[in-house]
Amino acid sequence: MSATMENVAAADRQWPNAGGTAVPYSVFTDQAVFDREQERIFRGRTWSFLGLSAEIPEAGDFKSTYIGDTPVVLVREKNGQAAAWVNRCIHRGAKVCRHNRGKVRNFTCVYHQWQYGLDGKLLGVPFRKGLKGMSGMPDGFDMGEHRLPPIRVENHGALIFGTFRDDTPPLAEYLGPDMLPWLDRVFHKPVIFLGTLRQRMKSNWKLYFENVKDPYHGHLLHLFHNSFNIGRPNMDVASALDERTGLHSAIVAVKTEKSDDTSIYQENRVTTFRDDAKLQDPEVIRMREEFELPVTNQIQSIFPSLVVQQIHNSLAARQIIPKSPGEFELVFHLFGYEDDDEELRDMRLLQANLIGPAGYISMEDGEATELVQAAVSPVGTDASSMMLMGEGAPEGHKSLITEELLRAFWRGYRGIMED
Amino acid sequence: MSLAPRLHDRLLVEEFHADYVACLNELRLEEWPDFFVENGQYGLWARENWDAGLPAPMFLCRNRRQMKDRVTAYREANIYPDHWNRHLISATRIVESSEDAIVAASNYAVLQTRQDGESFVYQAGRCYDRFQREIDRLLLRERTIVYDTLAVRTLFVLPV
Repeated sequence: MSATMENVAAADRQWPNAGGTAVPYSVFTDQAVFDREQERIFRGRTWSFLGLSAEIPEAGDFKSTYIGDTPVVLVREKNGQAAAWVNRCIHRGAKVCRHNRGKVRNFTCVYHQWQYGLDGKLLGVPFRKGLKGMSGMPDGFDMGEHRLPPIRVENHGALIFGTFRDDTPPLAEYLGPDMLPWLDRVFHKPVIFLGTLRQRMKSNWKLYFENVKDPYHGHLLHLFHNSFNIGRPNMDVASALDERTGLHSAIVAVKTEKSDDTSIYQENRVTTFRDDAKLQDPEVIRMREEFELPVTNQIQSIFPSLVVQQIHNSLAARQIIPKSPGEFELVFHLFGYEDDDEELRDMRLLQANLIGPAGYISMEDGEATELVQAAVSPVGTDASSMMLMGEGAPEGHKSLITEELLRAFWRGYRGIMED
Repeated sequence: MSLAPRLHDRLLVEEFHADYVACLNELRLEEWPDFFVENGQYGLWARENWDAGLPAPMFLCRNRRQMKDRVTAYREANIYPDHWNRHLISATRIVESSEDAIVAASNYAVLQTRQDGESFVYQAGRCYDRFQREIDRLLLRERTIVYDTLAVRTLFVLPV
């Protein structure tokens, strides 16, 4: 047994039960687990988010991104299709594309100027026939047989995904009937790209995935609404879970009626609740009803790398890029709709204050994941979490005070890692 | 413009910067909005967006009341690692000067120190300031900050 396999086996033994109520902290710190995730999850039978269609509108437009820790380039081909390939020259392994974004006719590796088409096919090798008839590539070398390692690409509306594997199910099937209605609610018409916000966390990527499946923390960690005494509308929570794997989910708050009732915080002694502060300019939380369903918050996680967010009129596709067991990058792709009027566009820009690294109701997530990482790293080998909220409750995931989505996630995660 | 009025403008702007960064370095945040006119704007944009003409800000206050709300959130609502910011401003240039206004551009860096006592470069970038002349000092009509440090370390809560 290899050292890696031994470590993974050791980690496996530490799962105290099969229900997902206890997660051994070593999954957040162990390099062997991280390496296995790259193989089983990111290079396995999953679809990773690569970008929004509106980021690469025209032929030759490209962006550099990642699937897991593998550098990948997403590009618009001449025929209008999106393509992606591993950003690693087939000659000597250099990064072919060295820019985050741009527009090109083709790609050339700077090391020896091997040239590739937008689709990743090899187009040119300098001195292929040698110099003055001497040396060069062997006679049998056929350019047509070589290309940058391709990524299989599919899109669902404005969202472009990629997978390494031919045997990953088609994207629509992967997303599944539980998730598609919620995705389609947000991506119901053409979108425009408004920009990127990047946040670097010294914590494990799965701590963020837990965070977006955890409605219990919402009112307790994010004190913006409570602190400013912003009467929240009464909300129905319509969480959705992909019952097949437990890996994708959506937490959706639907407004029912206005309420300034804050007694729930007082009864439960939420210590941070105060009722004297007021926003001096409530413009930042003014919301225009623009969807059929009056959703104030939708946080939908598509395993393993995407979180789609609608918070008021603020829309974003958040991409999770793992860097190492103890570090990940979170990339917010902010967008609006092509037919937004000027006022709505302005509202989306002001509401960018709600999310991202400086987000009134999101900045705490980075800190929370780092607090966990800092505390679990030294004891990582034998301690585990305890997630019992809503355990055993029927339809338990349809409440705010539940950890059912997390438990389902961890059961699905183990299914892939230990398959 | 002859040397004397140019020097006068530079001194006004540099004095403004010194007061502004002292206020932030010393965490006298309640005074921060007072560096702006009532409808002054304060915003930060990632350089990759700014250069591409993409409008999404990271942080945007369109008036002084919105700045005051940010300060209240910092004091009462937001959760963040305890930290100090130290601002360095350099190479201030006067871009435009008129009877009632000055436009100036500067480089800035923010060194951050958290509870572990290590300091690191939290942000590098430039600020583009539109000032309104008052009798003996300046007020900001608009401060536009474009930051090079695209990957924001954990979070952004204190204005720079």
